[in-house]
Amino acid sequence: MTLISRRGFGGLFGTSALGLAMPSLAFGAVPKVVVIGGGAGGATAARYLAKDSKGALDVTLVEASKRYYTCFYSNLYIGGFRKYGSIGHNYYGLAVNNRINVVHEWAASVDGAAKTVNLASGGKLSYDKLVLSPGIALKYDSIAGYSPQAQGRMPHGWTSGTQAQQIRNQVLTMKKGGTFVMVPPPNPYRCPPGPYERASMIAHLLKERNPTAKIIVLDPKEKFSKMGLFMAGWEKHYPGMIEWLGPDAHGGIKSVNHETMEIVTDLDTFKADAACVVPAQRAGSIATAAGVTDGDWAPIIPATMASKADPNIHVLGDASVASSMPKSGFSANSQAKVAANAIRGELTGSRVYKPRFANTCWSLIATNDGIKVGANYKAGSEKIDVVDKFVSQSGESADVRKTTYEESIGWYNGITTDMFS
Amino acid sequence: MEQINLRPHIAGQVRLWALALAMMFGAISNAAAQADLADQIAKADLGYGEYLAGECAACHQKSGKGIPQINGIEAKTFVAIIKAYRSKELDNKVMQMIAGRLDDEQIISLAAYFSSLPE
Repeated sequence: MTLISRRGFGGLFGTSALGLAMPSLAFGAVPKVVVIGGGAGGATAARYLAKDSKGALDVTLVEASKRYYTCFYSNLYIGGFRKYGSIGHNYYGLAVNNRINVVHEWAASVDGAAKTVNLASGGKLSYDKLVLSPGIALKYDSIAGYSPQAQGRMPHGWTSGTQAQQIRNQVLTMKKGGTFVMVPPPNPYRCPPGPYERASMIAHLLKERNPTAKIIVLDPKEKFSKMGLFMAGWEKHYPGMIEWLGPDAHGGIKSVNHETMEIVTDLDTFKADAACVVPAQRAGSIATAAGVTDGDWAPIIPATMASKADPNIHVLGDASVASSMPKSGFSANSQAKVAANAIRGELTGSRVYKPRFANTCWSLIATNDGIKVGANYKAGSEKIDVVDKFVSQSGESADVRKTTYEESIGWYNGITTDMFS
Repeated sequence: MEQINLRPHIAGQVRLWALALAMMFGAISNAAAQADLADQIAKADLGYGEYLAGECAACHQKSGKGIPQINGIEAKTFVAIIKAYRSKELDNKVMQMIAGRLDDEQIISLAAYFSSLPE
């Protein structure tokens, strides 16, 4: 008896005889979905595709890291509210509970015509649908003097992991009365309230250990997410400790020097004892390699999150142009469910429901002082449009702020379970 | 009048739910309304409920700390609470927003789905 492998079978009859219409659906072959990136977008997409298709889809997740440290809550780790280990997650649940083929390799390129992914190790994966959720890549050259070399002394901490550990260590070992300089990124970037929550968490650490230290925020932007709430929180909890300077005050960021620890702006030069410098960002490199980016990010069709450049590639999360949806883990998780529903419908004929998106970003200013901003969205023909939105109010009671913080803990447990269980 | 059983996982949130409870006694205390709801739950589209539940699953999971776990919740409790958020009688900005765009059919589908799950 001759055994015909699934791939051989599809190749023999699928592509030659019936291939143009339904390549791998012919003769009951299981359609293949490859997901690149195991973060909030990719892990969720892989899990929902596998869970909801109940074996009708062959799902492979490509993620280089064997342990994933969430960017969200890395600020709370820096501030001492979380242990480092508590923001790390592995892929056991996806591999074992959901039977996803987890490939711990680096995806190097995509051949959209052949529908294959080439791994850096030389291996190849074929797909009927590809999901790209690569997150961000840093544009090191957006700030003169910044580089992968410079990030050792001026960590960006924008991809979690050891970078976040370095920032915490810098704050803990900073000289008494020293100056911490933070340079937030220009728009658009991952986690809009992130730099300001980070400044809050650094202030929280310094308040107890090094109360005469200062934090200077040199912002390339004139305003930022939840600005009034953060400013009021800084005044309340850390009076005189955090100085925020917008472009009106410093004239623009010109360059940084990690050896002298200087940040040069148009109007002044700032000497730092410790610093966090977050450069401009773009879609993770595999999105560019796949040819789905236009400029820095990947445009998508809102109803399905399919790339405008290639209907067989869906782009999720930070890498996509999601209009008014911020680049957040919550957004990526929400978009992943919309994409999974559309992909499953197309490949297995399952019912496709009307897409719906939501996001909420919680931030912690100080112990039990949590704030949040959120919105829900619908798929317009060109853009993802806001349906309704909310934001925490200034002057809320301590009870409301504490409940908001506790809610964020619930959300962290919720989303990481939704991604990895 | 039938007592609404607040399950243990929700008990911690009693303060928050107190208003819903009061509402529920008013809204579905008569037998006809309850029979009607039971009928709607029985006819509900579970697949639709499961799809919609994806939005809930980003936050509501088993640990229940800070955000209650809702798997296995009684359907009528679920309906009453979501409608109270929708009308802004219950006070949580995220839930008011999420419930704000759920129509009655969607609430019933979600109630049918979550009440069908083991706790």
